[in-house]
Amino acid sequence: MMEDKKLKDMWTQMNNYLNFPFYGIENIEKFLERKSSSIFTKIKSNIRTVFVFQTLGILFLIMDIVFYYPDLYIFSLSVAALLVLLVIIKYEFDTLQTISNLQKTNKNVQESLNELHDFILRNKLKMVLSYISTNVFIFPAGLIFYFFLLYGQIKLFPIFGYIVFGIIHLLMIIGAFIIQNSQLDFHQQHIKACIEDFDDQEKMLLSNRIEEKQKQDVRLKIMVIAIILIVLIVFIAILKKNGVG
Amino acid sequence: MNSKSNKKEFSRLISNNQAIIHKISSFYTDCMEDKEDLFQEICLQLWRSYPSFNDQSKFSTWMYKVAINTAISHVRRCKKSLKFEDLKKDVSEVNDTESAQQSKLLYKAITELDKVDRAVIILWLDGKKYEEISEILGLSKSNVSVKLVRIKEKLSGKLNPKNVK
Repeated sequence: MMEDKKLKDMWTQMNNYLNFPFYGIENIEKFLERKSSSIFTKIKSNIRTVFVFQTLGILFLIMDIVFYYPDLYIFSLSVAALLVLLVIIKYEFDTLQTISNLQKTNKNVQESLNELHDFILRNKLKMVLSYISTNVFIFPAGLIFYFFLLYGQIKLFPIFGYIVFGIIHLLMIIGAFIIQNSQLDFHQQHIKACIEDFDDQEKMLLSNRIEEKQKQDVRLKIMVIAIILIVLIVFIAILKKNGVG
Repeated sequence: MNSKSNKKEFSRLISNNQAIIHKISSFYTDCMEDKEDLFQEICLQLWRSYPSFNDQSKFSTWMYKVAINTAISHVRRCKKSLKFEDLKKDVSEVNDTESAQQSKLLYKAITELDKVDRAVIILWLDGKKYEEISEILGLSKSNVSVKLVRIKEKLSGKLNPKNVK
């Protein structure tokens, strides 16, 4: 085996050849203001995006409560949905705080990766469900509000219209489930792959696996979006044919 | 909350110790663009972790800890390999001398190791003791020792094929 001294000499020599740019205090200060690309930040920005849609859902529900007030059926349904949505928002806010705290802590590599992995593992179902809930509430709440703006009341469809409406809604929920689930799966796989590097039993080409997973996720997302678009076009065409809108 | 003067002081500390970040980002990225990105990401993560830095551990040890943590979990963006030539000072120097050829081989051999082994050998070559390596990576001292023996064997085989058992 090569002597330690020789190896260290080679290392010193190698460092002499390397030419790193020098960053002054001003450059470093700029770097501190950039947007992070870490897994932590990606998960957090995902939750923030859901927040935006949920806020929109809340706005629709409030409008429905206000505009349909004499209608007790819509009023009670909207209030119930609003309460559920507020509980979900509270849960997501807590999740956001927990992830921020995990990121702030100064732990060693294994601890930090294990904690994030455990957190996603323990909370995956809740995170997926809260994401789906946005789609469950926002579409009908938005549609009811749209009908009020257009007709001043809920428009009744022929039975086929309800089927198409139901299919679109279901597809949106399934799409949301697939997208959120695959995103969290990808983060989990990546963290797991990093953790496995600590284990001598697992010596695989991890980066190749991650890249392959990434490609699969993109293909899946494109497919889901295409299906949703096709159904939407069909739905609009049917509405036009029936003289709605 | 970090004050403005705190930020300036922190930036000065990072600027003075930037060689550590350059080294880590050079061994954990696949292309120049990603190397720059990882450098900035490490700076950001160091800044975010700065409030939790305590004077009990050495600043460089803490820097290594955060830098390696960030580098290991960094999602790579490009496929093209970062070569020693991309980081060298002078092309002719690298191509001409034997020591430059050896440096090139060493760089390639280290980048071919897995993420954790890479961290272990970089820390050891940079003069870190087993205790520090174990603290930074969360491995036991005996595990660090076992890993080092294996890594040195691997490197030896790659740098001098005659040594392969």
